[in-house]
Amino acid sequence: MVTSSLDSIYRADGAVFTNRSGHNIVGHFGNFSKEIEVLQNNAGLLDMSYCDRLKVIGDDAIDLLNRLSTNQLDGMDIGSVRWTILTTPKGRIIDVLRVARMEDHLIIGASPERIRNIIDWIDFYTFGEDVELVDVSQNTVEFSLIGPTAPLVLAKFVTGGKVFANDTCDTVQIAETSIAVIRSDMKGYPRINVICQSNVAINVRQSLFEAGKDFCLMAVGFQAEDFLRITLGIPIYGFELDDKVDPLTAGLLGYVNFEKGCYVGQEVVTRLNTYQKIKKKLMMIQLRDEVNLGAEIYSDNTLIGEITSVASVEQGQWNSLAYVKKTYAIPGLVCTIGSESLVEARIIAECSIKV
Amino acid sequence: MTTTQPLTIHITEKAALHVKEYASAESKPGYGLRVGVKGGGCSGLTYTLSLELQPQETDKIIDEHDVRLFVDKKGYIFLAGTTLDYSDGLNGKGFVFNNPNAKTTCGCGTSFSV
Repeated sequence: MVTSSLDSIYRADGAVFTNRSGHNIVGHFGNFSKEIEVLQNNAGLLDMSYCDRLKVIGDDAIDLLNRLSTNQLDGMDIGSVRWTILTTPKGRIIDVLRVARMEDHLIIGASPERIRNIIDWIDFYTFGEDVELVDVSQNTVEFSLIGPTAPLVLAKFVTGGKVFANDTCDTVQIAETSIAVIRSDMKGYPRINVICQSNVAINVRQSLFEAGKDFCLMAVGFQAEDFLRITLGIPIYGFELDDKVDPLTAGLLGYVNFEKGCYVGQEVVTRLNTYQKIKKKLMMIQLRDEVNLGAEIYSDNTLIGEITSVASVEQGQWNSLAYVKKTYAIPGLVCTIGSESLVEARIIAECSIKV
Repeated sequence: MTTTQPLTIHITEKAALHVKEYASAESKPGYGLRVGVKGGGCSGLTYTLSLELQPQETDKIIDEHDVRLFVDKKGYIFLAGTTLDYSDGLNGKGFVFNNPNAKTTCGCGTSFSV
């Protein structure tokens, strides 16, 4: 089990830990409802170091990644952020990458425990290009500030109090150290990630809390963030995404550029879109009770889908994500979990990240 | 007793003629032809061709029909056994790679996977 250098601080703050992809991470700090409220109305500080990070150096970095992934990365300005999907030749997802173009390198955010697959994949397709891949997951810490006032907290560290715009990145001085700051909102929810070396993480965290005092910044755990992403309909690797799923079925159309020409898997992805060949859709579903991941969804005794993520909203209501057969992917459809109609469910909306 | 020919890369006489004509038109007579592979393209890998004056230190060099082929080490793994041909005429595709390693190719034929 991978642990964090900050665990003792989190423990002292009342953290309850949970296992996530082999990492021991903070589930919550003892007040899950309050943490959700803070994410929705103020700003929460989440340690998401369990996700992988890759530093990419070299003149050919952007060009190579552009040839291997779905979104248009060519022409990315320094200081810009774009999401793209590494796909197999059959158009299946290897991972969804957050690409931040810093002054002289790229910082790539990846899913937990995917770094080896990503590095091996990119290496396989590198033929003499000027590209160097450096796994910085272990020696860096990544904090995520999430919520409406998150940009105001970061503005305190910027000369003139400038607020970071969405999908931008830069280097900022925090706790007398140069820190990478990457803003990429969660479907309208401000989200700013701060990446620093592990040995300065404690000081950086303290500085963020100092700056966040006026904005009710509060430490939150993974469960509150997961609640938010399920409610927003955002898929993640290991739950909704794996190497059997294509970007369109997962609702990630916004990360695919259909004008850019060839990339690995392009023919399959384009054909799926042109002929609308996807067989199922990722949908948000409300449940009357908690169910297990993988639970089957039925409509009139017909198996129509499977639950991929679940989060508790309040007593008697749960939000979930599920893959549902296309013909049944209708908002408002009432269905059941289990063939014996044990739990009532209602399809709310399609999960879709658009351009 | 049968002898096995080591896998190499071939260029047909027709393709070699077109390389020499192209090099001449580009004012690069006597340049070598770099035959390579790069990542990307719908099936994963794409063939590349370019004229170069000198090989790199670690290149494999193949001489056939008065044309020198330069192939880098990693590219050679994917190209060993390939024949570079030329398809001309009204429906011609230009330079064509007949690669026994290619498992699939994309619809337009410029990309392949192994």
